[in-house]
Amino acid sequence: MRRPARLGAAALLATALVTAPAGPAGLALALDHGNLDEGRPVRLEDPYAIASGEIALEAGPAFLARRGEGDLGAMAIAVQYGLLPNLQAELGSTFLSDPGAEAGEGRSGDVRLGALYNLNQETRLVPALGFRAGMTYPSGPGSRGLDVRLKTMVAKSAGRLGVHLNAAWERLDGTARGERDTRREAAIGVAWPAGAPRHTRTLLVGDLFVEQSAARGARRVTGVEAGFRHQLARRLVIDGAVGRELRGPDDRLSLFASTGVSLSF
Amino acid sequence: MSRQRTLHLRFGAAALAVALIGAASSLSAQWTRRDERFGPRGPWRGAVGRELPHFQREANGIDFGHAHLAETLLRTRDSEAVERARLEVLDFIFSWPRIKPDEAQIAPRFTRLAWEAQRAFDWAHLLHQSLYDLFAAGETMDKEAAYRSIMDDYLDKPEAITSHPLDHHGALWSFPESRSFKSAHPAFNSQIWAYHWLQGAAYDAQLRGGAAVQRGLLPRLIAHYHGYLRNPPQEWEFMPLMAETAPEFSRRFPEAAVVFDNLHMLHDNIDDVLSRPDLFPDSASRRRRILELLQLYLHRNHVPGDRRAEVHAPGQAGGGHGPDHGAGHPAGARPPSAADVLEGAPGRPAVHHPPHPGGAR
Repeated sequence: MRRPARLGAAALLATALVTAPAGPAGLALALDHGNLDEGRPVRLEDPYAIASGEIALEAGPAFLARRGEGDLGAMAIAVQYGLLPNLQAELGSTFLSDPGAEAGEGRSGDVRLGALYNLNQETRLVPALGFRAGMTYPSGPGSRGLDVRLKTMVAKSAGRLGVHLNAAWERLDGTARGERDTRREAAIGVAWPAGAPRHTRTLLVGDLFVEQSAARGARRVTGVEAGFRHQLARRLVIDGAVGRELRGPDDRLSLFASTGVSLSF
Repeated sequence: MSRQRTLHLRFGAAALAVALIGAASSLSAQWTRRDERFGPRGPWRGAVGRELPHFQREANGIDFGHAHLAETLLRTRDSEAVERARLEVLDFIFSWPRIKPDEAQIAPRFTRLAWEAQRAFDWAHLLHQSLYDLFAAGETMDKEAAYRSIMDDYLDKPEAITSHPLDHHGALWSFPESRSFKSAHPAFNSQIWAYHWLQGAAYDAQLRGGAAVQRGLLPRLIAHYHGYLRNPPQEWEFMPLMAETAPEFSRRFPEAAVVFDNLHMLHDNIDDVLSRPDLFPDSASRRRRILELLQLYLHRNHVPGDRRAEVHAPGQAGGGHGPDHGAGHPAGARPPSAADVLEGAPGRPAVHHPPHPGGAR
């Protein structure tokens, strides 16, 4: 099986950790802790690239509790670079506690390359728009097929409440019989700077997501997740999240959780 | 299809086209790119945080001030609410924040209203921080060369505020809205000028020696600045100029000094716009005016080929880069220099000039 439905959200969580962009706030006086990167802390992503010339490292473990199967641990690492204003490039991978397992857009050790382009800054009437393109190279053990993923992100705020909408389409190569060759997913959520204006170091975020299962005809996965990002130092942010797949195939995730750290220099 | 129905369809299509064009035009006026940039890199980066943490915390507190004011003025012009905001800023400053606050989260409405101005502020604030870091860093470094590199990198970007001396207390203080914020909220206005006083004076203290010397001098400037925060210097009729507060820095690094004077003047201009709902009654008119003002200050509009000569400081039309003395000293009591404070002469006699004909309301 090329991409198991049972790991749906967990897979996304794990892979999200490696295909990340960055987000809102002024020029880079400090790490942009208001950033919503995919997987840092939840799948919801804002449309902004990291600052031109900025380098960011992100890493963090995740825990995936699978119904009817053993639990799975994941460790994701990623590096991002602001190639040009509004354009970032990314490289990353995810390693699973069971190297034979499949998660996300590939197997443990698959390499992911991606780019995010931000079209515009949100203004009073115009939402911010961003696009992401990425591919997963099958470098992991037993992995096969080059997957391609396209995504669009939209953000619009009301006061300090940021509302985000993400939609993605994925082309899966090397799938087994009975599995989808393409998949769609979407998430909608909000972000709120807790304590602003006086306190701007903590961002709370939550979303609802829906995605097609990997197996044709299988029930689509829907779930919910919530998390935080907290700026510990000028260029250091920690994050954490928990979530649950509410509906979907019988082997959907009963719980997934992650923590992580982002470092900018 | 009847002729009447055809006419209705054509009329509807035309109305829809007009509506779409109108909407597109409105949206295009608000379309802007983010263009976020990382600050310049060098061995000096972060030196203030390491060597002068108390001063860094003061600087972090100041960052809150402008953003919170702009956001407050977009919500209300009620004097009590603005005064509350002023006191909130003081609370924040006296909390000595360890980490720079996120201005986009402090002032989300202003950020969305005029991102272009916020981007110019942010880039200039990065220049401020880079130079503080540079002068706090190891004494063996070739700081003149590093300064040149930082300035070149700064001015090279489209959002850079110009290093061309501008006519602050003349042309740029004579708009219909000029002095509105000062008139309506004199204590808050003076408090902001106090931030600018410290931001300038700190450089002259830094130029007196290495980090150890600075650690001895800066607390005296900070104590003086705290006095201004507790009793805002409302006797000042005009913002502190770099040549007054940091004459040594202005002599040695005139381009940066001019950028900072221009930055501070742009802050004042924008606060005036936000204080005049009678002149700028809606978001569109406020945005339009702020962007007009911004164009006066952007370096790319002055070099090469100066398209904003009308705001040049008198005597500087040829493109000089000296600190602002073009229109003479502003009237009224003037702030002390860093040296005045460090050497125990905190204050200057009032310089009396007739008020500028264009600005007062």
